[in-house]
Amino acid sequence: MDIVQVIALIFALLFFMQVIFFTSRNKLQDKQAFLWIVFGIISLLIALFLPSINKFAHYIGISYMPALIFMVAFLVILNLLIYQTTVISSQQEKLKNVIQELAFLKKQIKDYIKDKEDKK
Amino acid sequence: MSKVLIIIPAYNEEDSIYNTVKKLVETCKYDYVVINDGSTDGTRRILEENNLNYIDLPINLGIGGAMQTGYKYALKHGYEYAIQLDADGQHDPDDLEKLVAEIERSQYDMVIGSRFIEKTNYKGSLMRRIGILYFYYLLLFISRIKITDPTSGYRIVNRKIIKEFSKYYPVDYPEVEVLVKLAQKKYRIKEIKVEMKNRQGGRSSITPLKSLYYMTKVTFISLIRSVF
Repeated sequence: MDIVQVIALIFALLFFMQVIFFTSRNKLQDKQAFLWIVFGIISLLIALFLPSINKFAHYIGISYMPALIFMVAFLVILNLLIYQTTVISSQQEKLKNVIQELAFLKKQIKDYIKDKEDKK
Repeated sequence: MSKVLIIIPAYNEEDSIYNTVKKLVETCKYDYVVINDGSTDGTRRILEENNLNYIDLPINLGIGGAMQTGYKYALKHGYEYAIQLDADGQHDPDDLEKLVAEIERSQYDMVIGSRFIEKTNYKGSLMRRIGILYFYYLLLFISRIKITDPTSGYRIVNRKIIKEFSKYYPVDYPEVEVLVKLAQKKYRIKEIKVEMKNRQGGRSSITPLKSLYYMTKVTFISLIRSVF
């Protein structure tokens, strides 16, 4: 095991621990937590099998292995970002509905109180 | 309760809201509701002190969210028709009756008050006219409908559309996008002539950069949604 792989393993482990930490403290919702746990495991696996990945990169004609990892990581992160944006959009929609419902409730209460005062 | 609800979206309209509603109440017999879209000025105070019928959104939702609140209100209370009337006094309440009469007579799903279908006294800036013309051709190209005034907010819809809008209404710059959507669903849209004045107070929210963004965004979104 050369020194690069050791460093990669340490970073992957740190990342994994971070995910475990956030998950255990309920900072991540189950669905999101699971996603990140999978990511953490994948990064651990990548660090473990670094030499094989090196060989694979050479095999498909990429002489500089990190380029392969960057490419894959870039695509994965891009996808993750779009996914996060859909989550934000759906939350904005829900928030809008809640605000509207709140406004209706406020009006109902106000009308009710006014009605009572008028009857007095 | 009347069969028509007039929805007046208001965001920071303290200068004009009272006069707009007062004139409305004096000239027509229909119910109205003001949607105070989280105004930061005295709009809410004016609505409260004058005992006007209003809904107070605690957080600003933008024109789309505010209008949708109005449509949901119309749906809840069983109104047959809903009309959007701008708080800034650009829409003439005298045209209300014409819109109501037209949608009842023609049985169309939406009737738009247009500044351009016949010659009116409206004088907008050149840029604004070019923008409106652009949307006219965009709708003709995408949806094969002829709407001479697609950005006009002065429009009446029937109960079918009130239901549609309660489910989905675009958040910002809704006027044109809504037309693409409705045309796609084969709803029938018609225009009649109305007069529009210049603003009575407040400021227009449109800047040159914003209108460029508006045009590009609406074009892309409309194209994508009309194809897929």
